Amino acid sequence: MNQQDLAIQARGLSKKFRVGVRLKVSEALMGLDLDVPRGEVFGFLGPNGAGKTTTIKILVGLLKPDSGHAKIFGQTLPHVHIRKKIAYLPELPDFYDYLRPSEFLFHCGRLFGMDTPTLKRRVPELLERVGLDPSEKRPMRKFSKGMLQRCGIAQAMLPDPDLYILDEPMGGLDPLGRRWVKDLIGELSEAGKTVFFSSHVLAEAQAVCHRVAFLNKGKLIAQGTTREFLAADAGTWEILVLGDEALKDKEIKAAVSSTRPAGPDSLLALAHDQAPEQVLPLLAQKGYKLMGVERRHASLEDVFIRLIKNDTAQNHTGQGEEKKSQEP
Amino acid sequence: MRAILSVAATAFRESIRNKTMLAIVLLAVGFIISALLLAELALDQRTRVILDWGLFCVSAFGVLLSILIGVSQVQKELRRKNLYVILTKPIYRWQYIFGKYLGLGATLLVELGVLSAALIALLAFEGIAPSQLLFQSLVLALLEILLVAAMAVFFSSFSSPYLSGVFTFSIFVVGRSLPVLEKLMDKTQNAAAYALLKVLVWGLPDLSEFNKATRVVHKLPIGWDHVGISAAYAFGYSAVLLLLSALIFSRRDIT
Repeated sequence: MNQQDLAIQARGLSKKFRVGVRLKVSEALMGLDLDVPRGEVFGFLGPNGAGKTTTIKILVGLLKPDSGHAKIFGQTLPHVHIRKKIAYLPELPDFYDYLRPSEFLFHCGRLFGMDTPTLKRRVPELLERVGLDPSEKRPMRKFSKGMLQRCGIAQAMLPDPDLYILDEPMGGLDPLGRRWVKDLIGELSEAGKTVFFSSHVLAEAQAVCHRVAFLNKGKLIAQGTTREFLAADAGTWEILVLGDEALKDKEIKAAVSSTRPAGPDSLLALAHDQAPEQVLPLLAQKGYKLMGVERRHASLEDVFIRLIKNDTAQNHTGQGEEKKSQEP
Repeated sequence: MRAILSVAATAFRESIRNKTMLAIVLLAVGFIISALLLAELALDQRTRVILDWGLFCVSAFGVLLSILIGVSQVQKELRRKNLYVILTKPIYRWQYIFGKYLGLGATLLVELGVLSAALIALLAFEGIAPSQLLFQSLVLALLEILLVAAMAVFFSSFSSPYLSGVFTFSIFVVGRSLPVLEKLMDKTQNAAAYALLKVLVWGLPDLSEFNKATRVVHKLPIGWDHVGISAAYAFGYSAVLLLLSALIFSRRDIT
């Protein structure tokens, strides 16, 4: 991809922290490469502790990488002026105790270099857009998490920037709040903005992302378009078996990709390259009663779980081999 | 400059509306008024007791407020991730530190103004006209408080609020006792102790020069040149501390 087509480009980003009393080294990021095209909604996904927030903090200039570099719209970080083009929302923000939302937005606007007449027009407009009363007189310490999140999004939108970097924008929100954020991301995408966000809410990410990247233990394990991932994962089979005995059957568990309870019954999920014919004879032989066999739609959650499991298994194998090679 | 003023205005609004700080200011006013009770015990020393106790309260509560507000300025915003939002705007970190200090200074100026007004009102109630000496002493108290606030901002740019508070208060105590340390330095025979005392005397701010309550009480003159030199000393020392804070803060990771 041409560099000019990229909103964010990261190459070899690494970051270590020293934690605990003994200052043990913890590798938060290990050589991360990332390409986020302009005008796309990009989901940055991974389990807790994967390094998502560390990456975001490097991109917005709060952290300095130990090695590697990142560019925003082609400009190498850290660059103060590039921040005019970036809207950033941290995870679960909590703002000033005694300031009203309009005062807070005026402050943020001035830091963005906006003049007073523009702010007088823009602040009430934005407060209304995020669903807060422009004449709100309560200080922000009396706000709920959802209201603070809306305030946070309003401050990010002030200068109408080209790039939105949102850290867990749906975290801590109720279903209505999540829906609102999802719709907003959709609107920003329609307006041609680039939205880069981290999330645990994979169903919402699947609904809005053009492209996703999966991060695990500081390493990028996959990146591509949502469509590619879903197409690659589509078509896996699920078998519903009467009763929960199959969940405890070691032979059955070994024969399928995963098992989980489905009410009082057992749901057996087959691996991507497995056909039901490979498992059905075993079930019949063991006397399990079939309730249904169906090909199901792929979801980012499945992709996420598969990728994380594979990566964890590979790491274990790698460690095992490493151990073996160290043995005399 | 716009960014610095915006940070300063926000810091001022946030501190001046803080209910805990307001309670401390009211408590301080109560303590100043309690000089009337102490004066009852002093018989013919009434004016001296009111002045002595009043100036002590202004200075002590001023220092307390400057430490409390100063150490929480940066760290509170960091804990709440508010700082993340501010520092990712197109401003330099040194602008943030200077803005915070300006806001803190404005808050302390107002709060010290209230305490001074309470003391002057009390003196007026007693039929005592405020003297030039009193004003000079209050200006020196303000300068000392601004210097202590710069120390608090300096420590909070790299350590926790609790540690910053302990460090700032310790330096305040040692800074007020520098003449004693100088005497100790002259008397000590131990080379290591001498070296340590010399470092302390040379490096720490001499806050004893800002505490002139005794001269006010005994009506001994304080020259304007002393006030001027003290102001230059306080602003110079504060500027160095703020530059160091900005340097440290600019290089640190915001985790």
